[in-house]
Amino acid sequence: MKQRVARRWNFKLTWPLHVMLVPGIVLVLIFAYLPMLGLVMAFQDFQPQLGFFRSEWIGFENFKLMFEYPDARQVIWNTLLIAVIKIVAHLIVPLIFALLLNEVRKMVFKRFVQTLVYLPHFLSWVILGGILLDMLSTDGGLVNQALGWFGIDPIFFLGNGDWFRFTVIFSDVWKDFGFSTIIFLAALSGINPDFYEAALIDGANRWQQMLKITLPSLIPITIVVGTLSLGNILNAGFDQIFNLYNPLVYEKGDIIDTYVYRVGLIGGDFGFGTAVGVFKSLVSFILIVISYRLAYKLANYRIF
Amino acid sequence: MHHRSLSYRIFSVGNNVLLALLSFLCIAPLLHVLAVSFSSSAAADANIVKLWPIGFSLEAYKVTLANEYFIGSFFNSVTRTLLGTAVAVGMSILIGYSLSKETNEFKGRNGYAWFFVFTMLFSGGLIPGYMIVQKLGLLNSIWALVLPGAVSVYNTILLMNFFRTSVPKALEEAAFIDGAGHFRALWSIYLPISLPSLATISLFTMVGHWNAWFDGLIYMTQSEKYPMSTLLQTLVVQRDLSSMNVNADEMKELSNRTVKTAQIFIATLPIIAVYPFLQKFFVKGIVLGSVKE
Amino acid sequence: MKRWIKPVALMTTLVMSMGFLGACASSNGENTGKNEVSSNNQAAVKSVLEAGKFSEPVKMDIVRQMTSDVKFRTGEDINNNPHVTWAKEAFNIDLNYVWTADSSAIDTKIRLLLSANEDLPDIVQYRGSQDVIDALIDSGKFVEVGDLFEQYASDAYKSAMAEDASVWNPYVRDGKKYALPILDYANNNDTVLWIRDDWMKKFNLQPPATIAEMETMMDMFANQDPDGNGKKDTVGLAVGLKNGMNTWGLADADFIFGAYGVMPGQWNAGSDGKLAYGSVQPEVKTALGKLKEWMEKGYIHKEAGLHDEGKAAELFSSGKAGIVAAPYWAGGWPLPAVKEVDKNADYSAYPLPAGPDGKIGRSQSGVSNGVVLINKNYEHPEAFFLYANYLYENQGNPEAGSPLEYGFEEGYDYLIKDGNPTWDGAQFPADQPIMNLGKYTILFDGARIPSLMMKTLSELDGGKEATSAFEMKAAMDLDKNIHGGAVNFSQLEFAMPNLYNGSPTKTYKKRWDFLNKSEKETFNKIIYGDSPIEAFDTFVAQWKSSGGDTITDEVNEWYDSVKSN
Repeated sequence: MKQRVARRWNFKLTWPLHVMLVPGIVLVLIFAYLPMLGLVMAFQDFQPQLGFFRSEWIGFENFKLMFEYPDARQVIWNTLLIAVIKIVAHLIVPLIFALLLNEVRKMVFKRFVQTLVYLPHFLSWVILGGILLDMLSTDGGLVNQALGWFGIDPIFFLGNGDWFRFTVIFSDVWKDFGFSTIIFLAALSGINPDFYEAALIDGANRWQQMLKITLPSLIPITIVVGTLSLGNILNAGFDQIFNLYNPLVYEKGDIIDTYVYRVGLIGGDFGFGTAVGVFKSLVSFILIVISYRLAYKLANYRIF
Repeated sequence: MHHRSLSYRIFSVGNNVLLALLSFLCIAPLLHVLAVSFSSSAAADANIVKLWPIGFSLEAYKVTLANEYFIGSFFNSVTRTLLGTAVAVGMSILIGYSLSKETNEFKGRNGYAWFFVFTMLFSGGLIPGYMIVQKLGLLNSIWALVLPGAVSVYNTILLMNFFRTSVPKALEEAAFIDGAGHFRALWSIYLPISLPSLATISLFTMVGHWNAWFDGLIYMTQSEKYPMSTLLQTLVVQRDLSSMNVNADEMKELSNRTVKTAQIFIATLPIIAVYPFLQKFFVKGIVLGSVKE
Repeated sequence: MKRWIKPVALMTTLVMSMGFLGACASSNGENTGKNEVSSNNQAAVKSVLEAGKFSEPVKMDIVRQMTSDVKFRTGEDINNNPHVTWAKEAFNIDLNYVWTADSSAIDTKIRLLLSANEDLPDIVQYRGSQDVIDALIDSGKFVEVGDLFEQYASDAYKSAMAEDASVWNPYVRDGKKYALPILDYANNNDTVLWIRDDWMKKFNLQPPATIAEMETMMDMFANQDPDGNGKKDTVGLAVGLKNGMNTWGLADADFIFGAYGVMPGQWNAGSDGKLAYGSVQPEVKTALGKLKEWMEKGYIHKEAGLHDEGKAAELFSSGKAGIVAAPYWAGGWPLPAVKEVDKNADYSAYPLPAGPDGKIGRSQSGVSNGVVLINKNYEHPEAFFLYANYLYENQGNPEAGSPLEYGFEEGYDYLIKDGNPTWDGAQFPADQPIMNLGKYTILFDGARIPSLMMKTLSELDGGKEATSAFEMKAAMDLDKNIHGGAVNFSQLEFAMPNLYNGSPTKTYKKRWDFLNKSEKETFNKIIYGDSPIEAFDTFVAQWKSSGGDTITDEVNEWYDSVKSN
């Protein structure tokens, strides 16, 4: 009897929480879960004109095709390497940048910088690809000219495999760090000013404030963003690489998505594309589950 | 008020210089795009324009602004962005609040959380998504651009975390003791405190909507219903030229750099302009202070 | 127990949604309303074709690809323009464009349309990938057009189509034809050699007749400062290698291989009549060696491997290269930009040079550049032929006094000034600009008779006075282009067609990406000196063993099946 009362009280307290979720659940069921039935394509030789019901079932053929591709290992490794470094860099650079920006006293300058670094995010890789090709040229490109002032020989940024990887990562970070910083700035503005006042009273200088207050309060959001970005562990950035790569750097620059794209051009292969997508999702899902568990166990922090 | 050691002052100067330099690096490409758009088309074809127009010409802007589709698409973009952001941020607030409760307060939240997170990773892809929109009769409707992405799990998780870290528990409990319910707590405590994070996810959503082009391409069958970025994509996109069906006239059209860059610039300007306006919500302390009374 | 409630609820929802998708599929039933042509019907059709007009209005629902060169005047669109009015008046046909999509979107849209089993229009007008055409044909919803063409097409239409019978090949299934190829001017994108005349003059050079002479020229262009700016910043030849050794025409390397009697990146007929893939022939090795040498000597740009067609052509149009192989029309675009850099710059088209054995070769561009498919359930397939016949008779190469002699509508695509027609856009009022109405047609660019263009350009260049409307229009082109066309025409015999234009075969689908990727990689690495020239032999061996031989067999099987048609 007593238990029942308690439960009813609990229900009374939580029913609005359930209600709040209803619209979201309905939308997600219709627009996310329902289409997932289409994942059966991964096991079909899907032909648009035949649809899901008449296309031939071929079991794991599509998955086999991916791993039987002679360059499969190379392509997966390139993807993983580029993606992992990008994920880490996209976490650290905006974090540091947010800290640096936080130290700027002049509001006008701060906003000015904030706005300008946010701009490259809005230029597509088609455009940036063309600009980079000119800027990085060994024949009068701006960057190599600048290197020349320091006595450095021209570097074939886009034609040498290792430099290509470097260029891809560096330019991607450059393009998006300003945009990614916004999350950290939002987190910074949520820090309780009392902390700083207390620190001042304790005689902490700016360095100590930065290290003891600002940085630690950014850790939770960093973990959240980091975990969520594991969803991109096999996305090395199709648009970017597609617009920058060339036969000279296939060996170190070809990634899963560019490969799938080329196969699609030859045969418009939906089944194959879906199979690769499922593989990528599975890997991401497993990693996210693991890091979710780890964060909960080690830091007692629930990411979501 | 602040302790300023010598080392910190040196750091400050260096920091400012560094930030100024970075800013320049980031605006340069946009300046280049702008310069090309104001150049003569021959200069653009020869690719000799750097950061300043060569053979100054307003032709590209005349052509662009005379294009009825372009102007129409601008308003389509504004509509979808406003509507889409309102719906998506509303969803994130509701879901984010609900999930910000701990399991002991809200049994079943974990199940719900995974239910949403799962959709972030697995997606049915193009064909089934299209079939559903089509069967629901949403083709050519603005809702086709708003509803499928209305629940942004990523933004919701961010907001949920902001809710947890920035809203003092004591404040909420006090409200409950005064007899407030969840809706009231959300409205009068959570939302005012979370303005910076709401501004953040609103910005993300707006940018997402403004830049989204693929959904417009597949769900709109009449090009006058295209949002701007869809229209732009059809102009800027790199055609696959390996096909045997190359047509010289089309090639020439697609390579019209001045018009292309003018359109890019006009299409990018509004969304760039949004940010400085939202920045005032990021100012530290103000919001929190006002709630504390 | 309670723990299970949620999963069960979820399952229920999913199962229900299955039903939903099932409902989508239930409409998948075969189309049964097959169009039997009764003899009665046939007589009616005959009389319509003879009369040249329907007595009752006939509706034609069309889906078309809108290439970005189709422009409209303010207030007009594809459903509302002089072309639509004209079709109504001339044939009593109501053209109704159900939807259109530009080139980047239409593939996806057609695939989605087929997947969702939506209604298909009467006519699909498409220009793009074979894969999409295959899906359309395989849907079984389009009519066999071979017989219709035989029955309904007029002589003018038939003779244009007969110029190159291989245009039908990709659409033949079991000896029957399922799509009507749209004709383009033949050799339209074949390469000629564009050379900077002012640079030649400076060094007292003659246009190169051989590769060896071209090397001398390239050496001077690369090393003796042709632009006189005191810097060593020029190259001999502008060529883009990123997308392969034989691309669609602009800044192409095809002629270098042609000079050694081989054409990479396409399927050529061997002496035994069988098709063989060009890139694995031994002559390719020699040509690659040449390119490698040129790269070392700085005759071609250090970053040629990074350059696509447009980027490479830019070297010429920015005054950094003296030679480029490009189509005859490149004289109007993109090459003129070079005058922006150097106002004294001048350039002309010259014949492609011969190799050491006197061989010359270039890749031949396709004669067909699109298709029309007609729905099985369309009641009036003859409507399309009525329309196309008319265009081929009156617009392709109109005789004097023909209704479409100068164009579709005065004030739109031509003007009569002082009793003479003109197609000069500058003569049009600013608020009523010239519009190419031919681009609104179901044939994409109006009726094109393949062989007509190069022949006409050659004649005009030879001094013939333009008398017919077609000649007068062609004479409107830049002199540079007209001469380019004539040069192109003079080397017609050296054009090598890609004879495999059919659907990807089974092994092709699975293996081609790998083969193609290693081809591009190997060739570029050889040219850059990253791999020794012997890497070519390894590549060929690998190509053959990793599916290339099987593909060759499959391609030949296909070729045998279509070549008799």
